[in-house]
Amino acid sequence: MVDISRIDAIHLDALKEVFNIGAGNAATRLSQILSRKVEMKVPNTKLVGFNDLLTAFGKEDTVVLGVMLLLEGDLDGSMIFILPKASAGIMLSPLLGKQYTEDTVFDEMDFSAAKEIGNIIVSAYVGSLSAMTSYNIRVSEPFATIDMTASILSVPVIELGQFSDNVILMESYIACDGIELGGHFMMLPSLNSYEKIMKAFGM
Amino acid sequence: MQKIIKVGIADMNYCQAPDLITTIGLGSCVGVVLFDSSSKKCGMVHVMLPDSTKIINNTNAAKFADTGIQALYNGFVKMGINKMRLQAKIAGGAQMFAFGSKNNMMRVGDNNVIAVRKKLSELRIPIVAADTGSNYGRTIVFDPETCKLKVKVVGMEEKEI
Repeated sequence: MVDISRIDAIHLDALKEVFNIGAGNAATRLSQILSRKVEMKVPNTKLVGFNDLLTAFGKEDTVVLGVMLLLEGDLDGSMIFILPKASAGIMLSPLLGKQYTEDTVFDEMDFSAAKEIGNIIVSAYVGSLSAMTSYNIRVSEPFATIDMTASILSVPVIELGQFSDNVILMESYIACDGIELGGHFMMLPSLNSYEKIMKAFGM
Repeated sequence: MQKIIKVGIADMNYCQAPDLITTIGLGSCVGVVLFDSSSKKCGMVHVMLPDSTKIINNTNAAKFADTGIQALYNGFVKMGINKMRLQAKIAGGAQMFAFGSKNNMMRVGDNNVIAVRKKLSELRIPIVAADTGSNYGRTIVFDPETCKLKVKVVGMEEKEI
């Protein structure tokens, strides 16, 4: 059985490189769609325990947008993208031509646009992983919700909790017209898929 | 000084009046509070998964409904609390994302609630209040003085059960 906590700095670095390619591609797509200068980087990948994960995003009850996609094909599991609600407004505003405040209640149109942005970002990351590992990976339709960080993250954490107490967190740098948005991204493969990914990285 | 004791995910702790005990942002997990209104002592466990026997990685008792509630209960017995006096309040077990019914991730919240109810019934602990299911996260705060459980949800008025 694979032990995620065995992953070392070299492999975390390799994953970081792969996802930086994805981040670059995602930024290019988003810049086109939003007609804004979008920058994305993955400055750090690290292994964190569940309770540290919940606070890595700020406070556990910070209200965030979560977009989750399920993986299919050679790898299964899920990918999740988290963005503070205020930042989500900054990204959606050029797309829907309206202003967002702290109290804006997201309607169907807002969620639909948010899903599309999450979809672009996750698909770019998956694309880079697919290219690196030669695995054929498809993504499901995106699912989105706005809620407390800890509540949203409970979904992937429960999935992962069946075989691990740790998760690989990709710290992200996302900026729109120079304003840092503070989003994060996580890859949550199934146990089987973890083994496959580690194998592809020569572990 | 009144303290607020925090329970993390897959974690448990005890508390006595005048202190309060809380867990923040329950999603599909379930928060279980056991309390004794006469000694004003309570305990909380934040369980992630229904059944420890189906999982290889099961060293942390607080992670599972079966072993977590048992561990919490054993602590009360050790403290010398009459187990007949224990009552329970539970919250959480939401379905955060609207996955299709084919996906078994959809049922995690429900399965957690079912497992919690089963374990409490095995231990003959009555559930006197519950706020479970639906599609939103919950922050809960229990006050062993009043035996009330505060439930906070984003964009809704706070309630007490």
